[in-house]
Amino acid sequence: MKAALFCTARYMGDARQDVWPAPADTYSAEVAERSMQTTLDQFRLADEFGFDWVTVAEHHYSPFSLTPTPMLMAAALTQTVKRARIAVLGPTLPILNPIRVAEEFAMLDTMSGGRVIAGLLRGTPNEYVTYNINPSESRARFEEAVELVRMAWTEPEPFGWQGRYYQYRSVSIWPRPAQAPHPPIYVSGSSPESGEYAARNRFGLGLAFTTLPLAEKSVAHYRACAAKFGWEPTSEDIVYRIGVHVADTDDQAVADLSHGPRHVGLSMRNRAVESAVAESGFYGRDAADQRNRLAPRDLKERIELGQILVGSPETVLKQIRAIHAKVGNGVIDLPLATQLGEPTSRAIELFGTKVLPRLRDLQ
Amino acid sequence: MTGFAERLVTIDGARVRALEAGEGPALVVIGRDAPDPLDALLARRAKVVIVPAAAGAAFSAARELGLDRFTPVVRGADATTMLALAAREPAQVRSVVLLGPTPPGAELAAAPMPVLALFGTRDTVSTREARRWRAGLADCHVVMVYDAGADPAVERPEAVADVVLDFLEHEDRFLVTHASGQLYP
Repeated sequence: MKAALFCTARYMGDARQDVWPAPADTYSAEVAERSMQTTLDQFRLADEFGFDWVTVAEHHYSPFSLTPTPMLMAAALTQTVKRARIAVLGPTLPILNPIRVAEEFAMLDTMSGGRVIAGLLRGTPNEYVTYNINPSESRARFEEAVELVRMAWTEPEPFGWQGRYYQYRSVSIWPRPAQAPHPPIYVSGSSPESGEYAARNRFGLGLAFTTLPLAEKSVAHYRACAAKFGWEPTSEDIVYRIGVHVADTDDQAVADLSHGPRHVGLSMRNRAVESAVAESGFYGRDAADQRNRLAPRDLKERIELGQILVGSPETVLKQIRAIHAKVGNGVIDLPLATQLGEPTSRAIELFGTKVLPRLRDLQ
Repeated sequence: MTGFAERLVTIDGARVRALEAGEGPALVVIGRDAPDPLDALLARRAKVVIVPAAAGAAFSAARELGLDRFTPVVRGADATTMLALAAREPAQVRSVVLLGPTPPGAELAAAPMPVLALFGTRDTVSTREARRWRAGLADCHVVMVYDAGADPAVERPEAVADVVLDFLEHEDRFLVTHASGQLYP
């Protein structure tokens, strides 16, 4: 199994963690700069301790993440992370200009010597407010944009595009991706529609902030669809994202987390937005399951459901093995569960030295 | 299809029924005897003439109908024939619109006027064909019609009409959008 360290570049000062969009009335430029620097340091540490990927993602209007344009953070990482692959998981494709996304990925791939992983995602419900895009069109925009991005990466002759949501009279991007034909693509696979789409296009499947029972169902569906389309995903085609905090002992890990803010997922920080997006059909045909996985829960329940890894290296290793036994993931993507400075750096070190070497035998 | 009027034209000595609708720059559609949804959409901003004959007949029909210059709209094998004819009589052909792929291996004559070539993204030969057209012609604009197969005009007529009319109005300058982005004054 491979491991990815995912850092959202959390704002390390006082700020509202329970609303979206979050007001910036307590914002400090100095704290933000320190938060960014800490993030860069932690990614560098992850690279040194053997993590296979470092992961960045797009989120807006919240101290939860200071990377509304993850491509910028990824660009910095191409110069500071020397070995690990750089996973942008991902840009929220339906709210962006797909040609810009294709160009930025191609730049990153060139700057990193072909180390980029391309997550193409629909994002969380709140992101549709950010750039004023109708969430009811999210899936159709997404599927068109993915096809356009792939064509921009691979077509050597200039071409125009007459789509349903995008129109360009001439496209011919420079630079081109370093990897041929293009960087590996992962899409989100929590819903049945997403699993079918991933299988049809032979994309990798990303499972983020899900629950273990739901993930098991999603992977079985993805594998069944892939078989129907004539191929078999490898374990590396399945990425399971789960929050992590490792300390020397279980008690210390739990105590560390008690210092951090109470976890409320971005989707649930604005119930009006989340409800309106749900009513638009954003979640697809198993909306109840999708909304339920995002509901706020206490730490014990999150551990039991496979939403967070907390404990000593031994405990966390057991938790990962239990997840792998259920979903067969070849990559575990680990968002830092909290941002505590030194204890978080220690968590990266403990994971890299005491957990990661013992994951290698998991296929 | 409403709005199309019959016009009799002489082709190879025989009187043939052509159909005509709309006002504006002339589009001559070859090889059909009835309008389709695309023709009706095009006729909103162009003069559309449908001629139920082969490519060569477009020239005599256009002259008889008083069209000094026209843009042929062609599919399949007609496209390569029309390019050859347009290369020989460039003064009469303002531009050429190709809808979908041409037969494999068909030679493309070096027509000097602007060409708009539309291919569907679901058509498995489309990218190869698109490259051939761009490489073979001096002034060819390739536009991929998303989620269409071998016949984008039938599958996505609104999308095709929009780009054809833009090209007809602005020719090579259609690369720059003329649509307003202003929401409110």
